[in-house]
Amino acid sequence: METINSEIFTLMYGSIVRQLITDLEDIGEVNKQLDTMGYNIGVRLIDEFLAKSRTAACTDFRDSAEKVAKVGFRMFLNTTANVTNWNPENTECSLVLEDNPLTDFVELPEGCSKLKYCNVLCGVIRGALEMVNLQVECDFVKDTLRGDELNEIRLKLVSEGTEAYPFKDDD
Amino acid sequence: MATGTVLTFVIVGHDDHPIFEADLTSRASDIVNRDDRAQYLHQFVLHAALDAVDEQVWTTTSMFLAQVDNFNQLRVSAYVTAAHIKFLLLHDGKNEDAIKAFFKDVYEVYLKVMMNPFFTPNTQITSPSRICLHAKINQEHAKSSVYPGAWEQDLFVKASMDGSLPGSPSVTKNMRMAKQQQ
Repeated sequence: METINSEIFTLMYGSIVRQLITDLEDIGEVNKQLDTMGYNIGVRLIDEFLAKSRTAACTDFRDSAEKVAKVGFRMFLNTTANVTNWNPENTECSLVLEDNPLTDFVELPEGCSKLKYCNVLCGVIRGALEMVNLQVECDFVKDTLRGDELNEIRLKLVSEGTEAYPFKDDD
Repeated sequence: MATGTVLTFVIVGHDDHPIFEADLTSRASDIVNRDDRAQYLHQFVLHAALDAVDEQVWTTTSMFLAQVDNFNQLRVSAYVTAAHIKFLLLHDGKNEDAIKAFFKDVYEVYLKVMMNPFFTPNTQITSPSRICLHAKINQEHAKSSVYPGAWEQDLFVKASMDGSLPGSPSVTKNMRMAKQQQ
């Protein structure tokens, strides 16, 4: 994998978020926009992931979440997450980020307490999993920037798409 | 005039606007008996030193300019960053190495503040970054007990235990109470 300097990456992301806040003037809108941006990254990134990670096909959602946390985060953010807090049906889990390179140096200013600074990650996960037939909901529930002890992304499986051929033979 | 340690630190941005100011005087008595007129004098001396800094900054390749100006027993040392942000320290003792080390530490803390995407360069350093800068400066300062006039370790330890830093209102209040008891 090619790599870039993490400080450049962090500062670049910081400027994007800051610019969004200036342009949109509403924190809710900023969160939404970050999620959309992430989604657009995710739908592309999954191809790179599949081409370069050389992982075998996932057997179930548990397996997929594990791959996102251990392989995906390692490849694209150089960090890993722990998958915990499974619900009994195995459809919901938490990704706990040990260390988040996006938030180095960052201190949220006053008036931005609702900002989900790393919401782009949720979008990426949602977009990437959608491309492999997993509809998920993703939400940043705990954030060290907002005073929590850890970064936690709640991942919820909505539906598993069937592998259907997109068009009929006679079309 | 009250004799005591004078120790004022300011960061001056472009156009000579101060963007951060801290009184690092450690002695409780100095804080209680703070003389307003002396404070104005300190501001004035620091401001006057800016001209000297502007002259001397081009004479050396080093960021540390050592003592740039003095007024009676008050000395001003300066450190100019690559982006021409000036750190000035007003002091009345002599210990160049310690001051140099102090500036270096402050520069590192300042860089962290700078790297925050929500901080606009050349604007006032405000809370919470400011608090972070303040706390770190005080810590560094305590570590290198180099400054003229003994740094009162006990006071610092006591203050850091109840979460306040020397110079904060609660400490001042405590000291006042202690004084009254005497």
